[in-house]
Amino acid sequence: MSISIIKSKPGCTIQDEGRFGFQALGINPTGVMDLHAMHIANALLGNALSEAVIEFIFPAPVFYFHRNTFISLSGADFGATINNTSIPVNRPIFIPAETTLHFTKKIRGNFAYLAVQSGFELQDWLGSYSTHKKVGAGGLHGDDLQKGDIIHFRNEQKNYVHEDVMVMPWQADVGDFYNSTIYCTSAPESIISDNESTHWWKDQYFTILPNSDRMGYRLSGGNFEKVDTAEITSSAVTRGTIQLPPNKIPIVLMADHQTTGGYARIANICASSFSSFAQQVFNSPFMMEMISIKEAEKKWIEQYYHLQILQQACTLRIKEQFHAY
Amino acid sequence: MVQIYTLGEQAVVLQLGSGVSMEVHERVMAYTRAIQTANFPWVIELVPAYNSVTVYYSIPTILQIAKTDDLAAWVTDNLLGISVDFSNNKQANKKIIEIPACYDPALGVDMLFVSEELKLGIDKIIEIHSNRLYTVYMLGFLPGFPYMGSVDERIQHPRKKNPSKQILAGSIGIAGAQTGIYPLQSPGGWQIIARTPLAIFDLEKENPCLLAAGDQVRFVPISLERFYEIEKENQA
Repeated sequence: MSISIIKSKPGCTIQDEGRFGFQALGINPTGVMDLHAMHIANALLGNALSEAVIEFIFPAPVFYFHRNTFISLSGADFGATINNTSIPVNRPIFIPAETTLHFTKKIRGNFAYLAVQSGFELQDWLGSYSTHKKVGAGGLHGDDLQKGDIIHFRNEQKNYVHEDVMVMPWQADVGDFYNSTIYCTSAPESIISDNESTHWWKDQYFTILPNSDRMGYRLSGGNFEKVDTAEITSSAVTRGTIQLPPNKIPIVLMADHQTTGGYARIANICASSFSSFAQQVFNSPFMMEMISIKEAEKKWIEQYYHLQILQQACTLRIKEQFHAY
Repeated sequence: MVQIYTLGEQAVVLQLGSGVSMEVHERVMAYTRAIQTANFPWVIELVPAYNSVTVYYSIPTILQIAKTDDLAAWVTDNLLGISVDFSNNKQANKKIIEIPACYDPALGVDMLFVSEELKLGIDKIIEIHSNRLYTVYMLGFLPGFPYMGSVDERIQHPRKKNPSKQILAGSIGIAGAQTGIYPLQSPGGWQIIARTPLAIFDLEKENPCLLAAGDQVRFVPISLERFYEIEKENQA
């Protein structure tokens, strides 16, 4: 009961929600870039939402399934195919034994996720399966998945046998989890500076620069003329923190961010916008908007309830399906 | 005076002063202990820094226990409501960790440069750097990297204009009033004046980091021979 990597590509790692509780030691959480996609992929299969998944970018690796299994793909759409037949995202899919999964083109998004029913059998490091490449821990061996790697599943799928690939008759409506505007809240240094300077985002188009990665996205755009870039005494930074270095090219901290930093923190992207932002195609324009912390909390809670409803609906469909067979 | 700022919708920063000083550090550690002692179920983790403590919290946990639609304000009220005991900061309570340090320029790769820049002999720099108890103000930058202070003014030197691509694990550097130890091989900008054979970060350990904020560190000069001996013992 396992999956093999038969062709590897850089940027393919095992990730979960991240490794929390050790930031005071400088151990950064890592974790998936698109948390919603990971949750959706797991919900579709009836997994715990926090089950580890494989994250990959395009060009994507080629996967091989040794035995019958259910999988789901979410996040970016890289045109998945099995035997030249297209496989949709955000649907549970039955994969028969000895099947190869290819990805053909970048249709949408930056980070794709593959979940398997029952999850992967892995060793944790400090309570998380997320790959921490800097220290070489977590995931399968602390690094990008390599050609020849085999990852076992927790449980064997025996209830359902079918000869061909089969797309199951339920899907996740992901509209509630993504938005085109990227919302932000104020951060320590944006409150300290004067009011006018906090409007750097107003009527501005932003794009993500190509030298962006899992550590941080660099932005072009923004009116920073009046924004103070004085460095601060090192203090905590988090996922979504927008730092403004003296060169006035903002850096948004992503999944592999450091735990502390010395650049001015001018805003924080809302957690409810992290997924949209992580999947924002490089060099294509988007807008940002500053909202109050109360509005940000409301958006967070709404998405949290949407996710619970999705999970319940999927659980129901899984029960029906397996009762029917 | 405590100022509280949000850092995203799942963290608040308690700003406890400005700049870097022992006095502010004591406040940071007192608040860190007080929040730990309060044992709030919604606190995920705390990150003490030079003059702030950042508190990460769980929204789902708060939703379970509080009737509020103003979470950051609720968190702020709870954090400001705790009693902080500033009396536990006595020097005697602090953990002192001795770290063997080989200042030989073969390992302290920037020692000759720093010595020339400061117009101080290597022996004098070793004497000044090792003749002091440093406080770990915070960890950050890399897993287990301690930001320690304060370095004697006579040997303060700014960080490199062009960071080195590769600094070896165990390298001890100085940057302005700070001194630190690279736990892993990494690019970095501090001036490297020594190296320790001790593992500052060890994956195999339950607590992988040798140092924590609030610890005290003393560097004990060792010879090149002794460095290799300890390194060999550690590998065995």
